[in-house]
Parts: sequence; structure tokens; C-alpha cells
Amino acid sequence: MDTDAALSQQLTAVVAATPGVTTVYASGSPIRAVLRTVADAVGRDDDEPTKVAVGRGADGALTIGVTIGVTDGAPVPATLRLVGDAIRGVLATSMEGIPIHEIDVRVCRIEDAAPLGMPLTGAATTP
Amino acid sequence: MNDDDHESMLDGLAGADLDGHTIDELSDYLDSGREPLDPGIEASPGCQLALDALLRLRTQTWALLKSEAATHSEQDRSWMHAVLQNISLEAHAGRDIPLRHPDPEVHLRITEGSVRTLIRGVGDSVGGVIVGRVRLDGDVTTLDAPITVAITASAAFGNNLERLSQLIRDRVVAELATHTELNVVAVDVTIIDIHTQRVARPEDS
Repeated sequence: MDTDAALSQQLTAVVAATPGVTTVYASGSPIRAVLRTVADAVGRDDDEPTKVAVGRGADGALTIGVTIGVTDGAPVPATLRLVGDAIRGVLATSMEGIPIHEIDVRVCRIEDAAPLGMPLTGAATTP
Repeated sequence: MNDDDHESMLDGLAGADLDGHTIDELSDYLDSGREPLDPGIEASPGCQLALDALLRLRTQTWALLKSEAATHSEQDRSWMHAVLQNISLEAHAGRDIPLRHPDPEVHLRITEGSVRTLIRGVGDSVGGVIVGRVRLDGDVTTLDAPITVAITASAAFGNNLERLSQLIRDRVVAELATHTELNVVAVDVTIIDIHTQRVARPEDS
């Protein structure tokens, strides 16, 4: 596994574990997202999720992109800031000295804290 | 209302694009208990938003709508059709709504679609209300830009409409203040229809 894939895996786990985050959606193309979901559904445990997009500019500066679902049980801005800070923390320790171009965190779904007749599943295992 | 009626209610929504899926496919998917797992639907935030709205509609107001459509005019069926159409349209990601962060390298955003669905949920949670359409007017992509929320709804017969509208307005303002940094200058609630509160008969479903 290359460095960026390992970083994505690490960031995916950290973001999924952030309080208030319900889902980490696969970044990138829809086809990749579906393939990622299929892989999760069939239980491939040799390939931990790498849903956070990791890019590098010509100068090597990192661009991080993550798309998440959150619960309305906590203020969304607070959850978003926790995610941004968590990513910052990982980069500070794992990528020390490497410049950061951008950390982009996007909420695309705000879920009811009270389930609507369907069980909410854990963030780390949902597509 | 029987299954054929339900299907006909969803006619015309086939073109609504939710990452390649349609609102009737999502409705069927809910009917099947999300089995077998559809990776395309589960991986799509837009589909998930639409499923949230459909599920909320079913658990709180669907029986009421079906009852109305089964016993009343084509107008009721049109209203129901419009609600489904709007759920589909509102689930699209739309514009990005920014949030502040002290670090200039960190960009935090909420999609317009997720906020519209949040507002719809708030409205649908008010007893006797069925939200028809939710719209955010103004430049939501710019921090502090003045934003007006426009909501249309149907209300149950017998309610004080002024009080009901104020209740929706208060809840939406509170929810948006909690979950966004939008500068909401007005929430316009327009009650465009009145429905009865008769509960659907078993034969209606």
C-alpha cells in the first residue's frame, strides 16, 4: 500500500470515529463508490476503507477531501470542526513537515438522531 | 389505494435523477426492507436523503395522504405527486453552504440538499403538516448573505393556520441556528392546501 492510500485509510478511521459522524462516503467517482460498497458488503477484510480523498499538488502539498453524514443529535458545525481538527491532528503527526494545501470537509446528509424505523449502522462499516 | 394506484402516483417521476435511480425505485427499495442491498443506492448521499424523506413521510403522513387521494379528487393525487417530485429534487446536493473555521486551510461545507431535507423533516414533525416544497432563496454560498427560507405545506383541517405557520417558522429558525451558520432573515410559510385528519382505512393501503 502506498503512502497516500495508507494515509487515506488512517484518516477514514479517524473521521468515522469522530463523535457525531454517522457515515463516511467514498470520495471520487460514483463507480468507485459503488465498488467500495460492494467490497464492504462482501466483507473483504484485507482492504480497510480508504474513503478519504488524498491528493498532492506539484509542490507535494496535500489536499484532503472527505464527504460525511452526521447526526442532528449534535450541532453540525461542532461536528464539522471536530472532523477538521481530527484530520489536522493526523497530518501533524503522520505528515509532519509536508505542506497542506486544503482540508475540505463536506456534510451531505444530516440524519435524525432518532431512527425512522430503520436501525442506524456504525459509521466505520457503512458505505 | 391499491398498489396500482401507488404506482400511478409515481408515474412521471422516472426522469428524476438520483445518481441514476428514481424515486419509485427508492420507494420499492424501502418496501423490500432494503433487501437485497443495493450498493448504488447505499453509496449515494442523494438517495439516502430521499430515502430519509420517504421514510418520514410514510411513518407520519403517508396514510393520511393515501386516504385523501383514495377518497377525493385528482387535486389530492396531484398534491401527493408534487410532494414526491419535490423530495426527489430537494435531495440533489445543490449549492455548498460554508461554515467558519479559524484555519484558512480548512474548508467546512454543508450541501444545500442536506439542509433542505433537514427543514422538510422539521416541518413534517409538526402535527398535521405535510411539507410540499422547501427552497432557500439567496446566496447561500456566501457567509452572512441574507437568506429567506420558503416553505409550502398542507395543513390538517381545523388547525389555527396562523399558529401552525408560526410553529413551523420557530422550529425551522431554531434548527437552522443549531446546524448551520446561515443568516436567515425570513422563513415564509405558505399553507397552500387543507387536508382532513381521517386515518386511512385498511382497504386504502
